[in-house]
Amino acid sequence: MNAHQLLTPEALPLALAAAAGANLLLIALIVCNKIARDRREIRAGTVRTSVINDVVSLLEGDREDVVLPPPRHHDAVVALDAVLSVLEAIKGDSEAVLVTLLEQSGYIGTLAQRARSRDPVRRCASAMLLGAARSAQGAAVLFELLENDPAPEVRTIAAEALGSIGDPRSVPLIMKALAHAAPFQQLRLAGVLVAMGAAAAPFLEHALREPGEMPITLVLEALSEIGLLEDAQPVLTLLRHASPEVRGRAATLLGAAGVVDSVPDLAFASRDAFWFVRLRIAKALGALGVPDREPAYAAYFAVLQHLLLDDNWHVRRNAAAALAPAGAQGEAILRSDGSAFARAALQQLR
Amino acid sequence: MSLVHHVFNAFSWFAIAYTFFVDATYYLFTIMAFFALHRHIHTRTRERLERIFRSRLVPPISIVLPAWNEEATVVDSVRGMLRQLYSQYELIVVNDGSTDGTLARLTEAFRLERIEKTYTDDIATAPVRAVYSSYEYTRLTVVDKLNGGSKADAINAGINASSYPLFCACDADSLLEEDGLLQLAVPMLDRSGFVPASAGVVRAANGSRVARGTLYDIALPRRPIEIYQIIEYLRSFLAGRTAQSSMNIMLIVSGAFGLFNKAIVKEVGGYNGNALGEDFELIVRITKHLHEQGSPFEVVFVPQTVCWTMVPHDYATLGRQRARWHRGLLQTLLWNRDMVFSPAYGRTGIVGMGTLLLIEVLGPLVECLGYIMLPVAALIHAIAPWTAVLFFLISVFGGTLLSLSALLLEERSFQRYKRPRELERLIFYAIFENFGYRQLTLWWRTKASLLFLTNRRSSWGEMSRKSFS
Repeated sequence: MNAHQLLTPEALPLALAAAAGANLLLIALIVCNKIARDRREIRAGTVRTSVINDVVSLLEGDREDVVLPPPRHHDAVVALDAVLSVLEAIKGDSEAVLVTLLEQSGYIGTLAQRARSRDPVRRCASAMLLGAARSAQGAAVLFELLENDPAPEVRTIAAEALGSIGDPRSVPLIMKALAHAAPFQQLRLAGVLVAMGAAAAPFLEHALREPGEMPITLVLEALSEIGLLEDAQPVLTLLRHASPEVRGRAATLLGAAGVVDSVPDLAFASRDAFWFVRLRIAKALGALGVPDREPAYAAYFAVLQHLLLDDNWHVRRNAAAALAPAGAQGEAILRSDGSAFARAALQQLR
Repeated sequence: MSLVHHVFNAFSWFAIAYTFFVDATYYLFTIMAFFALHRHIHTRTRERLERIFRSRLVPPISIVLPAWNEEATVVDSVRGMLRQLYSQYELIVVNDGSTDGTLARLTEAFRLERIEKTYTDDIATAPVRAVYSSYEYTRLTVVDKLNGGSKADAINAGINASSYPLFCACDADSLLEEDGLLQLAVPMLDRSGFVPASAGVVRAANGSRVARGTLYDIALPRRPIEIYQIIEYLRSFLAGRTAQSSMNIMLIVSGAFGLFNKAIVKEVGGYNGNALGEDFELIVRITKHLHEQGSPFEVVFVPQTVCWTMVPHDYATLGRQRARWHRGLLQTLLWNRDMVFSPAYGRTGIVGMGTLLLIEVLGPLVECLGYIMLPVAALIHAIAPWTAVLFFLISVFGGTLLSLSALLLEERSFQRYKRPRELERLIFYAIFENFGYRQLTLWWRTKASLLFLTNRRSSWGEMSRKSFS
């Protein structure tokens, strides 16, 4: 058979019509999608403005009641988002008013139901919204998800949601989840603990003494971000850990927690072979500031002067940055050094 | 039938079968991209990522920015890079022997000071003249080196100077959105397997408004040549790469914007200075290396992560760019021809490399041949003239279908072009792309293939580039 017998007078125009028709259909789909989306956005804007106005009037006492769309209404998502955006900005009694509004309107109940969906994406979305809603009813559901949900992503989001509520009862559960989580989940769970601040610090310190399966570097970084440390001794021991990552982070924690008496230990550790450990020590010293007692005071300037001559320019720059605000003695050391970083540090000071 | 008629008949059958194969492959990729994008959009929200990545707990990243004669755009690019939301990163600009005022502009804008070079050159490059840092912009380091004859050499110098385990290779005329690094880093952290590289989308900034390194009004350009490229990039990134990533056969991480595991890049010897398509060649080499080691891995595409760049605004520059890309493709395929259709390299070898050869390499040649053979066949009455015309229109409409599908993907996902008039223009140019522009790109690629086969040397050539501002 010849090819052009396939391409017959009947077949080709039909094929052309089909191809053109498919193109027209696509154009119609694109245009309809755009029109529908624009209309949804306009509608959403109107609903959002109306709900926010009503909610603000309620909080200011100009209204006694606000009627939100029912939870399964097509405007419910926008209405919920509007209420949550106001909730994010307020605290105290006003928060309680809005939480009650959401509970009485059935939103919390609906989200709690959806948190039991078979679809993990739906459970994640519900958990996030329950966290933003800061409801006690919602917190109970989140605890259940954190303890029992089979999907790690759902458990992580439940932890994040409890973290945004700030419920300290969740800390032990989050610590337990952290020990067995994948790296990304660990990062996020550690972030939740940081957000919990003082409530999480004792548990994190305990993990330093008895790490088990806990990632020590993450625990150290989390404590550094919180900036609290009751007992510095385990951290001073970690300055001699086999891993340079751990040594460096131990130094950062000592600086962040303001453990001035650790300066002699930091000075000793500054002979570390790894430049990024020495860098963290320089930064920690900068964070600590000039100690007000011996032997830390003498060790402080000695170690920074030594680090100003380090092989690595990152270390030198941070040593100069630490010396600049360290009073007359710091300035004198920088002037006698005369390097580009020393000059720049002095200039910044002025 | 005469011999000539037999030849034309055989070619006609081949052309029908080939067109069907190519179109079916692209349509399949587009459908896969629809589902992959839908899944992707519903699994991440920006707010959660912001909370995570402002934290110091995240793995630090080095951004490497090679710059050669980029005085028009480099300061804006660096300012944009320094606004990243990611909390732990450094920016290394490599001034690759520029003969214009690139280094002077950087020195003035960021108050650079010369410092000692204290790192070792793990990957051999052209000599480094000096290293600069800024006391005020502590994340910034500038490496000034002699030109090594390739962008690869410059990136390797940046890798040598980098301090962190991940590096992001960008172009000096790239504008990253402020959550760009953040989005690109997620796959490196949340996949259970090893991710040697993750890629973002490159979009054309032409026509958009930029001030001090920030893109603040996305708009379509006026010139058709620029709009055609926008449509091509949508097809290539939103449809093509999304589908490839979902099948784990991604073979390219754009040199304009990609995140890499530094250890694996050093393990394979860094970028190849002799490669015309150094970004593509590196990924193929990493893929090959990991397959040979038997290590599972995934190169991931992150469709909502955007890098904006200025695309060529004149046909001469565009032609040179496309010719260079095509020669880079041919060169890398030739160097790694043992991977093509080889089951030893899994889906990457069979589907990934296979489709590159059959579609990207063979496609322009077959299509160009068709443009010659069909009219000749009509002239010698091997086929009826209207048959030739209809066949041409069918293949054109097949092409417009793909471009319109990419526009629908864009509308269903990111909707970067908000104005209705812009959508009208995109639809218009998606159709008319196939009457002239497509044929021009075909010619450039065919010419590149012929030059490659005759072993003619090629270089980057002069790239005329508009500033963002």
